[in-house]
Amino acid sequence: MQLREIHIDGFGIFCNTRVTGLKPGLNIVYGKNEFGKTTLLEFIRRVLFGFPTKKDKTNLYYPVNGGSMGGSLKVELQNGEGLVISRTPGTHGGNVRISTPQEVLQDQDVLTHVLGNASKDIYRNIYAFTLDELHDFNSLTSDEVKNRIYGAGLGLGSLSLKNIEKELESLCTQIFRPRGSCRLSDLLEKIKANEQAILSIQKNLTLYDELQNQYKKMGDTKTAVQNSLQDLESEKRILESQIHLYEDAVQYMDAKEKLESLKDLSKFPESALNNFKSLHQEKESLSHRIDEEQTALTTLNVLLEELEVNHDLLKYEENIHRLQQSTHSIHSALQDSGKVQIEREDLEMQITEEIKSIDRTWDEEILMEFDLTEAEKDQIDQFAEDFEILRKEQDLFLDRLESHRRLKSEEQSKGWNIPGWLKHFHYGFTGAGVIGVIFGGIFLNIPLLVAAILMVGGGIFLFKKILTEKNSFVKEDMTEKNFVHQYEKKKQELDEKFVGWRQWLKKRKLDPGIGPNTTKNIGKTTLQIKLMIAQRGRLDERIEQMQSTMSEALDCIASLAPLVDNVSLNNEIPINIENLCHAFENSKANRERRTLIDNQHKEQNEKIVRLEDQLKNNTNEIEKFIHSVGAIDTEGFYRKQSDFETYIALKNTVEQKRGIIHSNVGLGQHFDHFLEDIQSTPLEEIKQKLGKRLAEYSEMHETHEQLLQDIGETRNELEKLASNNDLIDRQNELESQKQELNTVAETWASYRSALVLIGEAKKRYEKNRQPGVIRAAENLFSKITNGTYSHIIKPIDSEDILVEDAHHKRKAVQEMSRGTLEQLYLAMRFGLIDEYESRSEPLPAVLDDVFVNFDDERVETLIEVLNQFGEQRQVIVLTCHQRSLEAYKRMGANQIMV
Amino acid sequence: MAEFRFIHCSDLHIDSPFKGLTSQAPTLASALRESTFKAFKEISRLALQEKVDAVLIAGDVFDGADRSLQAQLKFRRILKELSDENIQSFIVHGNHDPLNSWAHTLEWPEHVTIFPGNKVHHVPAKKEGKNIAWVYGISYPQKEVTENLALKFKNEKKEGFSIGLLHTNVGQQPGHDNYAPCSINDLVSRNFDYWALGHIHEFKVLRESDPAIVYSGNTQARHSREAGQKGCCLVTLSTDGPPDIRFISTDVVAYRSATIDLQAAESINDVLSSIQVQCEELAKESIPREGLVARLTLTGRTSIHKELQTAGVINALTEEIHIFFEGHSPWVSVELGTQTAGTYDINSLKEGKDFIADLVNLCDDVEKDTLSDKIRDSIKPVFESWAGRKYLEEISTEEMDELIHKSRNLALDQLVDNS
Repeated sequence: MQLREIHIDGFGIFCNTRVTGLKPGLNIVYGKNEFGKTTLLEFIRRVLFGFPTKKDKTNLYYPVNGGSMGGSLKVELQNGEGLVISRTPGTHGGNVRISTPQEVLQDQDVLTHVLGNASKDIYRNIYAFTLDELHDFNSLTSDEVKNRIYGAGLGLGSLSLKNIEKELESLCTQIFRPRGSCRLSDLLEKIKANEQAILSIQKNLTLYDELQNQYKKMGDTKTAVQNSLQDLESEKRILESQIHLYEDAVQYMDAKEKLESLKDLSKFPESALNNFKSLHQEKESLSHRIDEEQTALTTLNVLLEELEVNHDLLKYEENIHRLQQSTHSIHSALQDSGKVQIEREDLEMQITEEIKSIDRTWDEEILMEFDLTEAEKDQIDQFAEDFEILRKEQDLFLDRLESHRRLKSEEQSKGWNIPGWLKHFHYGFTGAGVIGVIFGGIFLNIPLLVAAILMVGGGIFLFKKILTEKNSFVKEDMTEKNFVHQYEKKKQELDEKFVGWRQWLKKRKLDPGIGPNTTKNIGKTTLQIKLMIAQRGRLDERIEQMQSTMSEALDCIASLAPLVDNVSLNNEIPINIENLCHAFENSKANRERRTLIDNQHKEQNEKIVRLEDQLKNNTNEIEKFIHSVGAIDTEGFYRKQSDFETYIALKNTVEQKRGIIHSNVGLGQHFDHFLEDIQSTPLEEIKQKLGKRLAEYSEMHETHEQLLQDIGETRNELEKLASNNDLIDRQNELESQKQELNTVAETWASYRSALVLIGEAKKRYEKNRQPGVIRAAENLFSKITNGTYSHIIKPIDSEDILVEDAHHKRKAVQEMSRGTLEQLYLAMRFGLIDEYESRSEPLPAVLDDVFVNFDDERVETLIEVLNQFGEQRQVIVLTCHQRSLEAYKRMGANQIMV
Repeated sequence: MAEFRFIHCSDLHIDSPFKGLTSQAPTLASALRESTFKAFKEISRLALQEKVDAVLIAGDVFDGADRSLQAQLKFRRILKELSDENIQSFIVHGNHDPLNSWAHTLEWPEHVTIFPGNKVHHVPAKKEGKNIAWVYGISYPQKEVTENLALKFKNEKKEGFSIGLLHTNVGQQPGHDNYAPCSINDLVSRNFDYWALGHIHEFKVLRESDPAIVYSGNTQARHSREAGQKGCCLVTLSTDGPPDIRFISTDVVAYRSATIDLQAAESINDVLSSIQVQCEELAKESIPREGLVARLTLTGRTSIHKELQTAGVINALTEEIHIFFEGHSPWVSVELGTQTAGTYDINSLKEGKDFIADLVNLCDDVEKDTLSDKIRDSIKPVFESWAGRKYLEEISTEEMDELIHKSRNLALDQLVDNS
């Protein structure tokens, strides 16, 4: 593929720029300084291989003078086909379009195919020459130069394969070195150390079983020691108690002996002494009481003598009682009798007067008989009423009669109110009427008939009226008569009534002249008088009573006076009465007391008898008691008693000591042994034994303590072992260390195989391609050096590049001059291109003005070589040097201005 | 209707160390360490809660090779808890804890039956004073047991259910040592009601009933290759009806793997946050377990590929993640691996006609064998001659391929200039 035209829409400083007229062979593109050589080169590369993005961190060459970034290249393929490759920036290098005359394709793959699968790197490494590459040469060491030159043949550009290999090697050695420290050996050490630790932990763990056994054994030992300690303990205790109780034991045995020698006093009651004493006490108290009672009796006797009783008086109890009761009434009688008398007399007088006021003829007797019942009262009232009524009626009739008479006279004086003519008129009237009727009837004259009837009617009417008047007059006379009659009757009645009344009065022995009211009043008065009479009666009674009372009292007093001293008829009655009562009371009281004392006396006697009985009993009992304990008398008893006390004391001692010994030593066998020991061993010996035992005990105790400590320690160790996490931690660590080892080894392996790969690829290159490269390079190199060096030799198994001159003298890289080296480098580059193109699509080589620093002679040669080189292909050189332009032009290069 | 309820578990591997972790946050070391024990404790709690009649353990209680007194004491402690509640335990030993492996002489609680290894014994399981089932079992006398132990079982036709307890590899399950091999038919022919098996670290019901043949799997995964649910089986055998086999998870630490594509990552911070996000997701999935061990592989063509290759970067990232998740519940421990690649396109590189293309093509299938030989050669100094070689795992064919791939990338990293 060869470039024909370059169209830039926008890229860096270029905007809407066209570079045209590119031809096959050598082209020289000339522009002023800073005209954008690198930019142009980049543009070509990017259109062919893609625009980078921000990610790639490289100069993006944004158009600074306007225009949208992108552009196109017009190219021509080997087969003559023309294409336009255009690209704009975007993802994956940008959007590329390949247009042929026939069609437009949009695919990077198509372009790649067109480019013969050359990559950007390939293009740069093989086809692009920059000045920088040559610049570096000056700063390279000879080894680096060698590498560069070698690398030039590989197409790696400035990458040094040697360096890469060195890098990988060093990475390898970091990880692994057969001797000396490296990562793997460090890790291995750690792993080994861990394994050791694990082993030792595991070994320690075998201790676990051993320790368990030890622990158990120690446990057994401990039990044994504890047992012997216990034995020692008990022995010690026995000895101690022996010492402690020695005295007691001795006393015990002593008392026991003595006890046996004594008689058996077991039957002797314990409380004998107490009983005896209490009996004695009883006796004492009884005697004492008897004495007391006697004294009391004597006192009673005395009392009895002092009492005085008046028996005679006492017989008259009733009388005295009565006197007492009537004291009061006597008093009042004495006081009131006078008054009452006077009252009575007054009353008598009053009565008499009143009776006389009623009627002089009356006396009390009559009065008492007189009595107005209610019925009679009513009768009186009735009489009175009747009298009234009758009188009134009578008056009335009289009045009526009189008035009538008056009227009548008036009337009479008046005369008839009916005129005489009328009297006759009405006859005439009536007769006319009748005539009229008849005529009317005959002539049938109605009006006349009617009128006639009317007349008749009127006449009758008048007739009637006259009649009535007459009657009434007669009546009036009749009325008068009636009135008179009535009046007469009434008067009669009244008189009769009066008669009746007088009769009534007479019956009652009353004055007939009195009226009802008076009668009634008499009734009232009679009542009053009756009352007064009654009252008088009462008063009489009282007087009588008073007198009787007094006389009674006097009688009584009289009868009793001789019995009592200060009573005599000379004294006043009340006083006498008082004295009598007093004396009576005294005697009564005394009599009672006497009875009481008599009783007491009797009782007392009885008591004394009883007590004396008791005393006798008591004495008997005492005697019995003394005999019961086997003594004869009191003395004997006391003797026995003291014996008994001794007995008891001894017994107590025995009991007590035995008790002490029991509680300390035990019963049965222990007890017997103990006593035996005491009997057989003196105290001193026992003490000695104890001392020994104590020593033994403390020794054993120490052993025990130590043992416990050991056991505790062992147990701790066991627990530590059981809870130790070290083992599993280390095991986990070991596993991860192993894993790391593996990973690192893998990494090492990958480095190593990368080296192998590179080595193999190099070998392949050297076998397959390098010869071609070298051959091509040789040609060019020979030309460049004007035949000075005709061969380039690459020995097998060495990366050296040697040059051989015409005399077959070989020079290694370090022996060559800088200039020669540069030439060699260039030759190799060109050789590579040549060799590459033998297998793939040729691409345009775009170069910087790489010869710019060469001297004139060299330049000529180089340019010529370049020209030749360019014959089969397209070479584009970019320069801003006039001189170069001239030189190239001289060679016949195609000039293009920008 | 008679019922016998029990828990069937196996491969407890109490206190066995974790494999495949290069580093653990120091705070998590003890959590990881305790996880196997805690898983078993969980089983015990389940047994007490469900008031089961018995607990059957089918071997590999702990690793005898580890000689861990702790493990034994812990195990015994749990058994005592069960025994105190009158729950019987029946235990056979397996290849990791055979009878002849060194174990401390401990006294076992009442109600604990450890089957001896000379022949098959049968022991009654009691419920309310009656024999409700008979458990037949035999332990491994030594680590390598190659005979078919299943054939030694014989049903004595006693009243109640009959249950076989055995550590075995039925039907030569791959990935596990072929100890005490037998076939399903061997087990069926014994006429038992239920086979409680151990050895395979995965819950598998090989047969539903008549008899039921069940692997309960292990109780806690210890490296990321152990996938699937981890726990025990709660089994109810009844006279009318097939066995009710219920799996219950008991693991305390979850193992998860995931890949994180870093194509979009532009900086280490991006990487960090992607890892954090992934870890949080995995942590959420792991609830209600206590902890999570996340094995994360960073993949993809990314511009920070080179940075990730720098020494110490991965370790720094791991540390950062651990600090980030400190105090988190569940706790998180990560293992980071890189399989990233630079942003170069392998295919187009291959097509190029230059040295790089040559290199890439070397790794192609056609050339690979000779290349692998050469590589194996080159790594001999460590993998064959070095004193520490016994700790290194052999490189399999697959791993060799990976190695070639990795080394190619390494070389390209150096050779391809991305600028």
